[in-house]
Amino acid sequence: MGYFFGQKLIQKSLGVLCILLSTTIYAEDVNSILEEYNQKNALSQKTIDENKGHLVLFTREKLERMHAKTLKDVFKTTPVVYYHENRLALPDPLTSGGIEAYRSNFIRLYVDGVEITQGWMGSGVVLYGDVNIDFVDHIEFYYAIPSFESSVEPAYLTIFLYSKDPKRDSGGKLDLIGGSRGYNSQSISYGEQRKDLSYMVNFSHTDAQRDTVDNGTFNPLSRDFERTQLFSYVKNEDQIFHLQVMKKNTDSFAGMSWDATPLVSDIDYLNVHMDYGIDLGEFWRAQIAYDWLKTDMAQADELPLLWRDALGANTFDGKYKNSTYTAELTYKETIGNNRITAGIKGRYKALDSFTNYGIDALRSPLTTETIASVFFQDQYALDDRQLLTLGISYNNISRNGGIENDDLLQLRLGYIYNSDQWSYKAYLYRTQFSLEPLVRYLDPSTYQDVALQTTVGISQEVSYRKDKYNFRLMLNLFQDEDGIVQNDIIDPSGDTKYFFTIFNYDYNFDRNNKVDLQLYYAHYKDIFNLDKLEDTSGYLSSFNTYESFDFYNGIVWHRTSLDRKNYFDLTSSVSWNIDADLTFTLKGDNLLNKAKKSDLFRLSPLRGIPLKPLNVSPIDQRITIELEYLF
Amino acid sequence: MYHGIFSALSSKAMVSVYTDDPEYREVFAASKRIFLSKTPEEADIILITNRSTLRYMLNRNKVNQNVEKPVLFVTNYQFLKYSEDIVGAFYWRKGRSQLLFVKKRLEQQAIQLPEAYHNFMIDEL
Repeated sequence: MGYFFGQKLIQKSLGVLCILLSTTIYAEDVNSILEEYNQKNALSQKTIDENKGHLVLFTREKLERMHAKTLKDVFKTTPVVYYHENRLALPDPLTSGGIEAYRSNFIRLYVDGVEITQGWMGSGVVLYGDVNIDFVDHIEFYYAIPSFESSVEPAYLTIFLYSKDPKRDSGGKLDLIGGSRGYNSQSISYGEQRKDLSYMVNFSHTDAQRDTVDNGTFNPLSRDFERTQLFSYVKNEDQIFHLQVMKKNTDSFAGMSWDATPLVSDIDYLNVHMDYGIDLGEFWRAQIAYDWLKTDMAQADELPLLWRDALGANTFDGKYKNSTYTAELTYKETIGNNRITAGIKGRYKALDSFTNYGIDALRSPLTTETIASVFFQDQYALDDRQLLTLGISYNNISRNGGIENDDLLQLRLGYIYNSDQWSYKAYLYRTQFSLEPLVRYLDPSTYQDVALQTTVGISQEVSYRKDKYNFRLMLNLFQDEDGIVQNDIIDPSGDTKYFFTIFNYDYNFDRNNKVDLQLYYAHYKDIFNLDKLEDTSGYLSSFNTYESFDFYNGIVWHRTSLDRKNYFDLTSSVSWNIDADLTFTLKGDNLLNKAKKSDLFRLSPLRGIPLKPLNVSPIDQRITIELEYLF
Repeated sequence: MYHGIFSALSSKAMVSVYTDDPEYREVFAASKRIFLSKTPEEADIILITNRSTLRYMLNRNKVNQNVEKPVLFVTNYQFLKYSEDIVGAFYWRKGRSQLLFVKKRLEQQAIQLPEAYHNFMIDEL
């Protein structure tokens, strides 16, 4: 059997590092060896696969030192696609602020390699976009089209959350936070590594009292929420079972009011996710998942609501239940220099019920969507440093109620070069997206036949790593044809071109003191009713330790051609490690109160003309104190 | 990393280590400088990664009072607190690797660490 580059890339950290570092223990100071161990461990996590795409990684150490408590704390710092909220105050990074359907279904979210989906209601980002991440070990953001190995539905940003492993995190942790406006959060975790199995449980509760937004009435817009969340798993060497439950009661901000002046605007969610995966011998793996979501919407306005299921009434008390079933079978084998991966995947999304004021109101013939996909991928090792990768995926989407079916074809071709210091990767893509079922359900006459969005693109990345520093440059060029989320009224072709480049520079002074810089430029042609949109932004962060104190300072800078203003979101924290088990932290988010704001558009429901938009930031200014106890 | 730690804890050139953790066994089996022992009795050092093995090894030590005991080393800070028989731990705390030896316990077992490791010693827990 020949050597295989992919196998070298997807290594188990423990084994490699122990052997690698055992040769140098006496040659250098133990401290620097520990730091090297940290770095190499972060980069050789067995979950990190070079072929998945362009990675922005948040290691456990980074998450801890940022005091990131929710995915939002992390997502607000990512390049090009970053945290944003829509008019329902739901995480929706791609929202334009207009009166529109959920736009971020192109972003897919996975926990421990299994996709979390809200099925009929959209991508997992809807609820998990600001999920409490106390159960998380590290987070990977993959830009551009990910490898087909992981995806059931197409995506161009994929977020992977990986949970803590009792092998490194056994025992318990209690975390208590109190903050501005009565914000409070409690989280308790426990994990144990036993001889034949390991398990982990995390239970958290967050009562997020947030900034209100003045809408010119006596009822400012509220987006407070209360979230109770359970994450758990049990696993052994070849099987894993997850159970996740989230209950989130939200004040849904502008809700379904055309002019963002709702009288009542509440949406409550109850979400359950279960999955089970098993390795069937050396080459095969099977996985099944179930997602269920109950959505209770209570909305009222003085004038008719914009939600179509309200049927022109000015009040709505709707309850929706939807289920999603996913199954997949994958095969992986290395034959000579080829690492072959192939598989079949199926997903069934069903709108189970819809009631309005307790009365069955489900009249739509469209209630189910079935996705069947098959994929093949070959990673061919040219030598021990170079890899060619080819992927092809075919999806068939069928819907009931006489709605059109779709066939999607996706192609991905890549080249990867990796040496100890330099790495380079380049990909060519062709992918297709179809319109989400919720949009078709709400307006079946308009969305009976919708052309597929075809996206073609090229992406490249070069990076260089030396002892103390690392730099990286990424270049991406994409074009959407027949875009399925069209804002372009003047030229509704849905064709959008976008280019972005990301530059990263990280420098480690020593084990305790680090600085990271990220700058990017994005250029969009024909988007959001604009001929051109430019976004020039960055993120600078530093991590420092002095005796038993840890310091974090991070500033996110945004500037776009929309208003040509500079926005700064400064987050700072100081932690006092009282002893090995107890830590006290003081943290400030958006300390300058200058985090990026954008327009939330409104229409006069009587005259149909645009009203002055509200200028809103999804980032609250907040001071918190935190007590963390390990047991 | 582990070879360095184990060599520091043992005066022998070829250190014999026992662990029942399959992942570590795989790693040590590939090492040219660590001899992977099949039984705890034959080992100079026992690496403990889970609670049931910890309890078993501590009980075993109590029963075999007169036999020469191997050095106990763990991968969990809580385990280090659990028993005075354990001399040190290499573990993760908040995503950062930590190395810790307890000086008093090392002295009780007549172990002298090389100077490079002195910064990682604490008097007692």
